[in-house]
Amino acid sequence: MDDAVGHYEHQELSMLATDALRPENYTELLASYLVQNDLCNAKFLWKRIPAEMKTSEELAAIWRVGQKLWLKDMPGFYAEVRSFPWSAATAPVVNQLIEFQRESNIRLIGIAYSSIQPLDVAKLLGVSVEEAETLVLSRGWTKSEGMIIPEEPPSFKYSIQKTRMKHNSTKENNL
Amino acid sequence: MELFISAARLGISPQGVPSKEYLDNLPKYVETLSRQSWANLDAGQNQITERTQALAVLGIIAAKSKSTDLGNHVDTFLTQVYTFLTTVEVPQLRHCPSLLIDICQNVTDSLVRRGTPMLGINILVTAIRQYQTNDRQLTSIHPNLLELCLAASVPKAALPFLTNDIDDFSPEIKGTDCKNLLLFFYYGGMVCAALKKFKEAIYFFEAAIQVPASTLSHIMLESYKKLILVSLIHTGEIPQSHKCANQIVNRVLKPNANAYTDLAASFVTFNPTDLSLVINRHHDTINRDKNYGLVKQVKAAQTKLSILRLTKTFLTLSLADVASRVQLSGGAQQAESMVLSMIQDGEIYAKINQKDGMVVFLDNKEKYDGPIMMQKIENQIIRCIDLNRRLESMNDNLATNPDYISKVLCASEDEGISSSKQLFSV
Amino acid sequence: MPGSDYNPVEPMQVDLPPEENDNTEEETFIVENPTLDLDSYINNYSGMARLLRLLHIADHCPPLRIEALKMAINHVQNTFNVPMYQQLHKKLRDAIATVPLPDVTGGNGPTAADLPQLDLQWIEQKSKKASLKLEKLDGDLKNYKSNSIKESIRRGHDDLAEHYLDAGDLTNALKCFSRARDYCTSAKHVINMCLNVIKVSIYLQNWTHVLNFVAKAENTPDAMEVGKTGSGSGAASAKESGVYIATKLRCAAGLAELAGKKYKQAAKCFLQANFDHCDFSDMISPNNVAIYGGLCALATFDREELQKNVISSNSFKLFLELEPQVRDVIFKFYESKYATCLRLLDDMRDNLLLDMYLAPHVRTLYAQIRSRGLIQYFSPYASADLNRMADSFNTTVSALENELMQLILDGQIQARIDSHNKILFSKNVDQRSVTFEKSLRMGEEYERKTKLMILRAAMIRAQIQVKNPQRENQNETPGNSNARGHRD
Repeated sequence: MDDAVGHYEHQELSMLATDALRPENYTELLASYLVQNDLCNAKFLWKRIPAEMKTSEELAAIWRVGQKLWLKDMPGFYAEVRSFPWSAATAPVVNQLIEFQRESNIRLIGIAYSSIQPLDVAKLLGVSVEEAETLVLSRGWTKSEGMIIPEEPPSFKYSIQKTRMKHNSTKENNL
Repeated sequence: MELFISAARLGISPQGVPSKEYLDNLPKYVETLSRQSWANLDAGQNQITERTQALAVLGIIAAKSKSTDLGNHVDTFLTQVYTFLTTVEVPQLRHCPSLLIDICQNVTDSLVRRGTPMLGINILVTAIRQYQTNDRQLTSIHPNLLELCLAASVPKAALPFLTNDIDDFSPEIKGTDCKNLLLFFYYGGMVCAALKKFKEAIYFFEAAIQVPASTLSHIMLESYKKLILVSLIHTGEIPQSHKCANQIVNRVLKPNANAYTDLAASFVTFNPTDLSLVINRHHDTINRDKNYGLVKQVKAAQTKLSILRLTKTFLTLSLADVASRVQLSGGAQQAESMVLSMIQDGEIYAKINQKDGMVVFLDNKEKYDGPIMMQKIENQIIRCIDLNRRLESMNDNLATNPDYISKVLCASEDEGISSSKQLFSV
Repeated sequence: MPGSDYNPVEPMQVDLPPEENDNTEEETFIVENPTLDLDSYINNYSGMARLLRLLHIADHCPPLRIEALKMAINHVQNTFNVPMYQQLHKKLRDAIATVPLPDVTGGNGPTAADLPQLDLQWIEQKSKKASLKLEKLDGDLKNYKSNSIKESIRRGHDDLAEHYLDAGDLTNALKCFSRARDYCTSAKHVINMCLNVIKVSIYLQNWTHVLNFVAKAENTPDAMEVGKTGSGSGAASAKESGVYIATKLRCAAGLAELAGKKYKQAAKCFLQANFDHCDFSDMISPNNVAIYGGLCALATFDREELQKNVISSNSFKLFLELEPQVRDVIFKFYESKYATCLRLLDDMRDNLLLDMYLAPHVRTLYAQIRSRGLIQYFSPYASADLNRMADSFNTTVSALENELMQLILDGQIQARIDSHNKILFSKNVDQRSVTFEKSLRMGEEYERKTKLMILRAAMIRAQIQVKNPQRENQNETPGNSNARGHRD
């Protein structure tokens, strides 16, 4: 994934007409940024994509997905990813994105809630209430008086630290 | 053209070393050449094939970059420049830096004007890498590159040039024409702020206002305004003026950045209504300064900081109370999503209980005992020691520098001394 | 604002802009129901101090306005202060004009008949006399100067200054008192000069000046010796004893610190006053010392300091006897009877607002006293019931939560609020984590500052300087040849 990003970023700056990116390349680059949760660069990419490329429906669709992520609008995000027939090239990346978002939301619920309505879990995971309940109960969460009682992920401390470390170290390297 | 080529043959030795006379005349030649037709210049460029004559080619390229005809040949011209830069022997470039710098400036200007700034990025990257003598050296080309990156919405491409601490300057950037230097810090801050690297943005904006100065530059003022905003976003605090900043700058800056000092004063009262009022009152100034995006982020930062303050004072609080204390218009529901989003970003530690609509605020789970934290602390110590070493070696250099010694002993009204003294009193 | 009419900007007055804030704060309040006995209150003061205090009351207390202005006019007619007389008279006229008509049932409100005539004859006479006296004093001084007898010149300056003071020209009074400085031949003279300058500076509210001259007086060698020999020989009056001078200086410093919002410093100054030597009606009264000192101490001292320096201080006890209310406030506070203490403070508020030096600080001092109370209330507990606590502080639970929130954020109370169960829990701070956090932050700060410093050093070395383009053109050559020029 990093390779793809680096490759396209490099190609984008090339002055050779033969190197010019095509809409499907832009779509892949944009989707890759989203999978990396690099919304900032995704936003700038969309800003600089030439207007004539933006007519590509798939490119516009993937950007709509990005916008929902930018707003942290989870139900909107799931609706957008479902509403477009992704091409064979893009579909795997989009699936990866859905998987990533769902996994991190399960973790987030575990960290942030001591009790939560099944409907809200369903919204955050982009599935039906029944599916949501089965999914989280299979992970050892419980249900009491109609509420879901989440379990904090055991690796919480480690994983949060790890992501924050990564964040910080990139910051530090940059200055 | 024939004249130019023969002058080059005479003026540049077979080893590629130009005579002083030739160097002195070169800018004049270039000026004359720039009025010649494009075809003529092309022909001349093709005539010079010896690698040792690269300086003459550089002259022709410079002439082309000045030519009024450039607009019709941009694409081929850019390729020519790029090819030239990637193949030229570096020492040749440094014989007459002003040519290279002019070329970069002209390329930047014309590409920004044409609305295709992206095309110039690779050229300038190459130009900087070829021209600078070490990667901590700042050149006049740096601000051009940053300008292109910003104009092209590719801030990420500028990052490699913002990560090294500058402690050296190419010859043309020294002295009293500080526009390029100031622009570098200003654009640097903008690039970092665009990528939400606020700590770094603060560094650049601060650097801009602490450039030694006996008068206030507009770029410094704009940097100061952005410094206030970025500091509020990142730290929630008003940037303190530090001792080493110039007196004159501190005196003149604040009164000229009225709207922003008002904003900062209102920010720290944690009264969102008041902040909105202040923002509205200075609406025009903020818009004119093109700072609206940052101001919007300042507004959001205030809300976040208010919530953070709650986590430090309360064990439990109902979501409705969170909303009313932070003055969220969206009530408990908005409070829940804000708290959730802050937990997600690792900014606070809390647990929401939807059953009774309460939040329990928790402490940071960090116990400072894990290997990762130790690693982080160790890295920081290493960086500090390294900085200290650099500082000491600079100090030693300066203390043994005959210029410095005679300056300290000489007349005290010299402005240079007071600034050097300032340096040590920090 | 008292004295604003003859408060010209002093050239030395550089660091007083914050006072602007006080002004706005001060001018907005109005005291409607004072319980102050104006007559006995004002008899504590003489000279300019009396005038300024009356003016403050007249400006802020409509019920006492006319009485205060009349007293001020009576007072001013014994001086040469003609402009002040005219000003007061105008104020009085305005005041009477704005008072609503007395109701028919026979209130004895003021009427136009109450307005004394503007005494034009007095004005003319006084103005004439004043200028004659000024002329004479001026002439005397010139004479002394030509004979260059130091002691006479000094006295000449002092006399001239006294006259200016009497005529209400504070700026010139200050100038003349200060000029005497060059002609002081003994420690006694220096002290005297300092006291004079301090007095006028207090009237001018030039507090930095006050503090400077207090320091100068206190650092004068043999200053206290003067006092000893003075009282020992019995030749000098009580007013020259060392203790008297020390007390006066401490009180002046206390006033200045109070004005500068350094309340703890102010409390310490006032606590050093000696009751038996506290007689300077042209500055402040012993009652003031009790109030200023007591409230400042309450607002800033911890329990132990309060006990040691205020409650069991024999000398300050005497001051507190003068102001039983203040004494009660302090004792109730110490006994942790906060509700009573706060109620007493509320009762006093109006009268305190009529005090020109205390008025701008009443709100802050009260808030600080309240905070101290909250901190002290909670200090022995591991948890406290917010409902009970709110009762003790005459407030509601939600207002209390806000107050506590601020104290917790400021680090003054180590606790967390359980808003669900309305309980305040003390919180054990994990010193280890705090230390780590702090050192990481300091490391970051060090990095940032050092990087900037290195950058700045590099720029200086490269002779980078932003200059005015015009100037740059003018002296481009010398500018660029700085280093080279000095090498040879």
